[in-house]
Amino acid sequence: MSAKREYTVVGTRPPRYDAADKTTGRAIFGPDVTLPDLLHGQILRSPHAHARIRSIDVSRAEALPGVCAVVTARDLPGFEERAAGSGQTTTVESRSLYDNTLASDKVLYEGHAVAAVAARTLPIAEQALGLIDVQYEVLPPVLDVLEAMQDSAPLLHESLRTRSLAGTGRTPTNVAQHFQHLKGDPQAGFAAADVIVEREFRTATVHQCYLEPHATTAVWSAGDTLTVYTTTQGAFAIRDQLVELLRLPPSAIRVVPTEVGGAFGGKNTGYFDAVAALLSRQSGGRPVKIVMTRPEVFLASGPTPGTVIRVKMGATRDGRLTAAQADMIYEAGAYPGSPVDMAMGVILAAYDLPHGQIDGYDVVVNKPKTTTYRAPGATPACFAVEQVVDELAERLGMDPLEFRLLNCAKEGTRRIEGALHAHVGSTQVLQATQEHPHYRAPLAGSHRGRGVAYGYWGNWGARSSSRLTVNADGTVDLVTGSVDLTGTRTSLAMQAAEVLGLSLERIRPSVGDTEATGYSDVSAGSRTTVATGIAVVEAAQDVLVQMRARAALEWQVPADTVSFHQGTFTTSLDPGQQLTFAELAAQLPHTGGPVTGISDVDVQEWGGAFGAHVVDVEVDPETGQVTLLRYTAVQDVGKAIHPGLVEGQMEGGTVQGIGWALYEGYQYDERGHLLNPSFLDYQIPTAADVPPIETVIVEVPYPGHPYGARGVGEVPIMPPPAAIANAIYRATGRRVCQLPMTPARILESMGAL
Amino acid sequence: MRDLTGGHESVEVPGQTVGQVIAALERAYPGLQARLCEGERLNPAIVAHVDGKVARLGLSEAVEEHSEIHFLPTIAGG
Repeated sequence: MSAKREYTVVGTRPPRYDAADKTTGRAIFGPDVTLPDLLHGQILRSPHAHARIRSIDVSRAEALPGVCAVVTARDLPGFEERAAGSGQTTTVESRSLYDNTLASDKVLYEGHAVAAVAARTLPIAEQALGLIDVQYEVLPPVLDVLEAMQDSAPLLHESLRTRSLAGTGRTPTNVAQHFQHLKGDPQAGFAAADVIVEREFRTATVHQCYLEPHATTAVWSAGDTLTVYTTTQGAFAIRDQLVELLRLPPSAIRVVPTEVGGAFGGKNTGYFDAVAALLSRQSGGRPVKIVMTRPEVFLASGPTPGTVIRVKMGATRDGRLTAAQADMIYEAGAYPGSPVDMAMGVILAAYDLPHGQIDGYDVVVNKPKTTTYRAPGATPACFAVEQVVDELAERLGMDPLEFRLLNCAKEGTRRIEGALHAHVGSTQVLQATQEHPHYRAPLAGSHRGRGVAYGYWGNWGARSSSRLTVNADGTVDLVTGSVDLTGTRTSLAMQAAEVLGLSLERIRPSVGDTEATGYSDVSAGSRTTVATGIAVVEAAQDVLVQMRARAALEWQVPADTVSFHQGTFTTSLDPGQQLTFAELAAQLPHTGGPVTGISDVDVQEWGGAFGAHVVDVEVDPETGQVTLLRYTAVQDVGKAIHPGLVEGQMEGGTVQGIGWALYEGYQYDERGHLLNPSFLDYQIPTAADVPPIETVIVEVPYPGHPYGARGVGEVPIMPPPAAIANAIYRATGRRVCQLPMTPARILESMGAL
Repeated sequence: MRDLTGGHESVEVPGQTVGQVIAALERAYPGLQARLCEGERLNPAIVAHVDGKVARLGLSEAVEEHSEIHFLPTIAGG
């Protein structure tokens, strides 16, 4: 992989396949789905953050003319078994999928689904919700993770015990899990340090803020099979969820993914696909559509956790890190399962540390169950560790990038959890950042500062399926099971075109439903262009093997004499014989029919990615307002299959990271009511807030991918809050250790409030 | 898991599959199997990595003579 390879299609910047449909309004997103006889579903949600359900009376709603179905948790299969604490769903974790779909005995956050209605019209459904009588016993909520860890805190789940590899705790608690990674002897490492920095950081609960809300349409067909049209990152993940919730065989469920209007990890799971299915069945099989409103999206779909993180790091006088320790406390929301385990895998992974310890805690609080969001859990981790690293460099009198270069993880570095880094481009990223004109440019003016931060995300592989069918007109249909969130139809088709020696226009990519393609994991973890790309390349190679055999048949020569080069088949036995791919495709009907290449892969190793960001800020000392003056993002992407799409990912991730840094966060009152469940009150960055973002693509090819690609989507969200915090420090002389870094918090840090 | 291995960060045991390695670990360090497995399968919260690759076959994954095995939390992404 060291030699630079030349490609025909890979590395170019063709238009996206989905661009025209999305810009002209022809694309069908989740809320656009419509079917004959469609009913409208609505969900009744808890007004309380924590309460016991005493009773639910749906009789008045059922009697309302135009109402076709009303469901509660009792309609989910296995309700009696769960209520009795028997069967296979006796633990909090195993019950959570059911109870988060429709609450049974308790509501655990404002907006928790309690009942649902399907009616002929949306106004009738809304009216019916008002006729459902729910009697609650209101309980005190707990919203802060540190308070939730106290013995005196209100308990969300009386049966919850702390699980860890050391065993299961004996006393009721809100701490669902405790993980620990340990390398070497941290105490000895700190004893060898000349400088130690220790700080505590807090980050807010933040939402992915995809513009398209969750939307599902479910319909039962003759033969008792269910079809679900939904906006999702993975049709098979939704099918798996429905198999469990409805206790149906997978063969009875077809999930059709629609176009997706933003997801960022928030659509890896479904919230009411099963509810729509229950309503449809109760309505005699009529289709039922449910679309969340924006407040419902904020209240009842999974945000990413708020956190408390303590980081301690030590270094010698000559700038070598000796040890690090991190305590990471993450909100799980109402049910266990925060991404603290993922965050533990990256918090110290960018550095070569001889000694280290990471403790992670998964803590339930009265907020919606958290879910994944772009580099799950890693942005708070990066915010914490990169400020401590910055402070160490300053106290040692070293350039912050030089300090990182001296201590960065490299090929063969053993991480705290024990795994080894392989084929990483950390040094190349830091050197490219150091040499960039932005980093070398002078920054004049008062209350201005430059910050840098650096991050690592491990990426993912997993299962992907691909099918390529050659048409007689020389075009090739490409079907994968990977939902296209970011232009992956284009980046996957480019890889097929490269193998087949065809122009990109000859490839016609599409996303299959669960009956049209093999099993594919969710489009997440920056895996699609890489892992599904491997499946596409293998399927294309399968096509070439079959096409060579057809050419051999055509020429009556042995197949091993046929070769393929630059879109043309030839045989070594007769130099005068040659057929282009399209010419041979036209002969397929006469040589045995269509050719289809398939591949199903389970990618077991993949390349992690490093990114470094530089930002210049100006802080208004009167108002605390932060203005971003210049921004540069540098990243190792392995090989950019489509550099334009890669740059888009780097820019998009950076903008979302800027949102975390300066604007975003759930705000609750003391009773657990969300105060800002709308885009009027939940502030995200706009075009006016973001400077031009310069992207620098570094290419250190990953040898496990045919073209050297690495995942690119997640790293860019990690460094912005830390880079901006470090820049604010240089502008004001004060460290801000809480996200978002609002004007009020900045003024407070400056002693002006 | 160091509390069961006498404080050792890494240990060497024989085995031709991940399952055999865990059984050998259990013989040498009683209690480890219960932490790593749930019945006849790996604990679903844990993924075994053999020489840097995810062991998709779980306990049946083959192990070479000098392989390095890590037991890590399941990781995906957003």
